[in-house]
Amino acid sequence: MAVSNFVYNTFFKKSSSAALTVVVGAILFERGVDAFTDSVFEYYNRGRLWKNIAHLYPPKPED
Amino acid sequence: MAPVLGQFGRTVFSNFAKGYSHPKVYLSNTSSSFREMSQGKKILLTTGCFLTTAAAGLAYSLNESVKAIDLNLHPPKYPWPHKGHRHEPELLAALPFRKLELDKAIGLYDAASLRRGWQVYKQVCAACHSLRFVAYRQFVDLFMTEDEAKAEAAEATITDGPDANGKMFQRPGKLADYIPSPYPNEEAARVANGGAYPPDLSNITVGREGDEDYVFSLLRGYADPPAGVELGENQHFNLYMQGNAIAMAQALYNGLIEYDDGTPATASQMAKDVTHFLAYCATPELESWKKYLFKWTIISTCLFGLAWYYKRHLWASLVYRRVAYRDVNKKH
Ligand code: HEC
Repeated sequence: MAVSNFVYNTFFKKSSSAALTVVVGAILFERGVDAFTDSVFEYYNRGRLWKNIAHLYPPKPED
Repeated sequence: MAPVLGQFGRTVFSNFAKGYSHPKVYLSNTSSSFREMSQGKKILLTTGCFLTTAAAGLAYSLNESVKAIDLNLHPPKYPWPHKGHRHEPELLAALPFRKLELDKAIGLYDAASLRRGWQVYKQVCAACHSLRFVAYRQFVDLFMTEDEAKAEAAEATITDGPDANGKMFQRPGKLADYIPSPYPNEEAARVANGGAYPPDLSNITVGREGDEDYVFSLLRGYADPPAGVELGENQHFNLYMQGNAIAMAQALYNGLIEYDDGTPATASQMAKDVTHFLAYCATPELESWKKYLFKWTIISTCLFGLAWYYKRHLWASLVYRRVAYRDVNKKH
């Protein structure tokens, strides 16, 4: 209860702070989902991505 | 809303508590006499219906002939990195020993294969086929560095213009340029290829039935024509081509080119790599589509959870109420 009271009083009691919570929460949530998605894709496709294999193709010396 | 629902509930429940009896409703007792039948008759009728349906189905399927009018050989399915295995039984049999197969959902293109495929396109197919909708900038950080892509572009000669005098001029390519075509127009391409037009390969894997599997099979599908098959001049026998006669000679032979990563350039290796590269050219958006689908799944799960919570929140007062009934007629 203490936690939910604290959350309610700090984030949702006033409309202004509730609106701010929604905006900031949306930004953080979206960044979290993006980071999670990228890490899942990178993990699953490890070895297939260019950044995994770029070191196998050293730049040709200029001549 | 809530007071209305509450009033409604009270009315219904108090009537019920008072022993109010609803008029009985008889459902369609004129149209069906099945309910009044004896047990034996019911069983007989049900069995009869089953048998009739089964017999009709059997007769229908026996009447269907095997459809052998389709003379085309359909390509087998191959396990592309961005599409995955589609041989489920085999997959299930090997599952414990295999990496979890999610290629179809979250598999991306294989950069090493794309890189080899671009080499094959550039050194073999580009002699006849254009790739008009693909630009050099797309390759950056997909299968080559920016410097390499710039060098690739600079090797090409691009016709640009008109300049201040109204003349077209030639210049080395830049990253933003699209890949130049081998022929200036379709007619020139036809004349050079004995009347047949080598199609643009930008969208070839989505433009043919069988997609990647078809293009790969086509490149590997050359054979000696069986006895009795007449081929026109400039035509070659191919198992997978519509009508089995194709105006493109076999393009890939073992050891035709040399890969820069040292992979042995067998004909099937080259066919696989160039097809993978062409699949990328046709659907470069595939990777972002898959990511969007993944994110959509996460986000809509969260939204569903929120909606579920909000619904419970709204209905809590109705769902968790306790109702006690008092008989108003009874003297206390
Ligand atoms: C010598 C020129 C030449 C070369 C080299 C060449 N092609 Fe072709 N290609 C053609 C011609 C001509 C056609 C049209 C064939 C027809 O319509 O019968 C064609 C058709 C095709 C088709 C379409 C087949 C269909 O279903 O209509 C594909 C796919 C194709 N080529 C892929 C490739 C690939 C991949 C390479 C590189 C490995 C390649 N070609 C190299 C000349 C060439």
